[in-house]
Amino acid sequence: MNPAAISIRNVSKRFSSHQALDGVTLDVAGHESVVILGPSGCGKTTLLRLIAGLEVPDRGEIWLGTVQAASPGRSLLPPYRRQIGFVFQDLALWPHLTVRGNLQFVLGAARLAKDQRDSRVRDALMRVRADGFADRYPHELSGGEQQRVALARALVGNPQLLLLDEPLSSLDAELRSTMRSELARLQRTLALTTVYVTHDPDDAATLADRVVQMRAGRIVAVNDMKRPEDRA
Amino acid sequence: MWRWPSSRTVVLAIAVVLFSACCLLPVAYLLTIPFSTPHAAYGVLWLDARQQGLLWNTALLGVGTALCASAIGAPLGLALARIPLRGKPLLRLALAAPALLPPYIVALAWTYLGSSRGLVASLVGYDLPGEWTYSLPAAILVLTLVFYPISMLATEVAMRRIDVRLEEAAVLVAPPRRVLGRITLPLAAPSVLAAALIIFVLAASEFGVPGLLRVRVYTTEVFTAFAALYDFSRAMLVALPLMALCLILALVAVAIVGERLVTTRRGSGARPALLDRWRRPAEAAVILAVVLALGVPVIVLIREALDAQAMRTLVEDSGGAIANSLFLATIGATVVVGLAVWLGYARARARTRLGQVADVLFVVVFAVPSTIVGVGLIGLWNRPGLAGALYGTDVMFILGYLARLVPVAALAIAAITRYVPESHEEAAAVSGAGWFRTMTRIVAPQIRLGLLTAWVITFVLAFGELGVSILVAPPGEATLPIRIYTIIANTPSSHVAALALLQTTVILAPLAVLAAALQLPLRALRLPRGPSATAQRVPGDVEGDEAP
Repeated sequence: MNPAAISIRNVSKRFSSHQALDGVTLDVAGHESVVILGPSGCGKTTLLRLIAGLEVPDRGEIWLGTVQAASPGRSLLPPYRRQIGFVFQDLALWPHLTVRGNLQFVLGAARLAKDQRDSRVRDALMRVRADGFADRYPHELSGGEQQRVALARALVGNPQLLLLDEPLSSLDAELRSTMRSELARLQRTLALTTVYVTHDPDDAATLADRVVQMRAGRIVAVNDMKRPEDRA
Repeated sequence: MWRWPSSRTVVLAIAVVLFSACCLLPVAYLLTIPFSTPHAAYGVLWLDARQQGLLWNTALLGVGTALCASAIGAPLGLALARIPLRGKPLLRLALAAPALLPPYIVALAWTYLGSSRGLVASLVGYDLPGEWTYSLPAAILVLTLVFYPISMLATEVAMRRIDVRLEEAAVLVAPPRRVLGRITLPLAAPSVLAAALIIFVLAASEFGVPGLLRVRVYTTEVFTAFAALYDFSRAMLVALPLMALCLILALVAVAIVGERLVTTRRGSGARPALLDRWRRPAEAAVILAVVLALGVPVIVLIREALDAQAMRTLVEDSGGAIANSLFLATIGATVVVGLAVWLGYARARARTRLGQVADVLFVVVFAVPSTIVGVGLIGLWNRPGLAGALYGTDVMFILGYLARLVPVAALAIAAITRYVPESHEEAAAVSGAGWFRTMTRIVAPQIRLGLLTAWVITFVLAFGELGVSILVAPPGEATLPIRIYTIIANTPSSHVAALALLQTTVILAPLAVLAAALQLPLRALRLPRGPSATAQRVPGDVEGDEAP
């Protein structure tokens, strides 16, 4: 049997007096799209940050495929070796770098020739329909354009996992709907293993193979979803 | 229809008028000199060999100090911001302490260290520093030890301001060294550069150190022209190139820093551990810096002062100057903070454009070299009538402190006041409170520890002030810095060292109290919670405090 792409085993995490996660266990299969749904403060972002290696669990283990990434109190695999693309809620585009610079930084560790690197950057931008912005700085872009660039940056390194932390929360309703469709399209095209955190049920309905509902640091329900394209 | 202006408008208008009169007018007066000076006098501005030497020395002193202080201060700031050092609050305080020492005290310690019978000579057996004791490189070294905290604190603040997410996004795809080099440091670079420019201005404006170490620069030339040659117009004309240089660089620094000058927002959330494995080397480097910049000067002064005979007589001889300094610094700090609190409040609540103008004025006024301010004050007040009645009294010291220190205090208070949300004042206004009641009952309690800190810093700076004081001091009146500076040439070094040690003790005592306070639990300080608690947070909270 193939191991899960992500395996979270009995993970707990506490921040001073706040128990962010309490014995969470979850497996995500390869190419699966899991949406984690829940109210603010329920621990969904903490779960995402643990998978990325930005936090270390107090208890439990995290496995990425066959590699153990974290054990209690220890990170066994640094974040940059986890082959993860991450889209932050506030996008976190580096303001002192152009769009091209943002994407090239991700490819810095890969030993690529300059033309290969340029080609990867160009492809990633085209994939999210942001190829006209390469030489602009983040502050010169609109909210939707920044969103696309953040997505391109997450994808340019050809990650095994794509983690998205409420990436659409700052957009207006119309743009949000457009970007949601874009994300669904990319998911279908790239068949990435995706974990998507949101508190919006519409996101879940559009993007999820499986919806994990969280409350007060625990998983309270897991629902398989039939996605709109499957229904069709 | 005409209405009485509000109490807020009246108070802030009075504060602005006082700032203009005390801080801007002396500088503005100097700027009018070229229009009222005979053309023949402009000869002093021509770059003959003497002028070229002055310019060269001043530029070297500024550039050398800025580079060396940044080379030491920026890595220390990085360490304070990003490495979980043990005892960080105390280390930060000890590292910042040299900035409060009057530079000429450190220069004095340096001359004792490097003299033919100094500590170095007694350790190695011969006069190792030799002629280097009194030289331009020595002045750069001394000023570096005094000014590196500026770069250090600017770097630390800049590092802490960086949005955590920007670094997290980078650590997902790159190893720590690359994240540091490509993301963290470039984001902090403007602040480091601005600090370097400010250090340049301060070093080029410094009078005591080059004077003591016999380095000819513009500030010593201004002093000589005025105090030795009694040539007032020459002093003013010589001051012009230096003033222009300082003003231009100060403007560039303000342009680089922008709104960050009075904003000390911290990036929230736990920082990625980029440099944790450098903890031990960093701690060693920090301790070395504290020893070199603070420990060595103090030890050298103690060693030299131990030879002082008849300590009691010595203190009695200088008792007047000591009492004068304490009294004037206390009054000066109170008056300066009393004015700065309104200016700082106005700056904190100003709209962007007006705030930028205020920042430029504050930094530019602070950048004017102290001897030039002194000359400006004399030109302004040494005239018949009411002004003349004040000239020749201790009021001139207070005017000097106001001219030099109001901008620093105002910027510090503006940064603190920004922590108090405007909605707090609006809520008070909606509740029926007048502006004075809002200020005294809502705003002031939330910034009280910040005000106290501003007062202590102002007191320390006033207590060590030399450049203005030595020019405006009435006949027969002296402060401790003037006394030390004037007796260096004809008094046993042990006596001078004893006085310098006394001055150092008075300056470091408030820091020692603060250090002791840092050891107390937060509750013992009775700090309010909420935004004010953040505002009054003592420096040095560990990274763990920033966990979500």
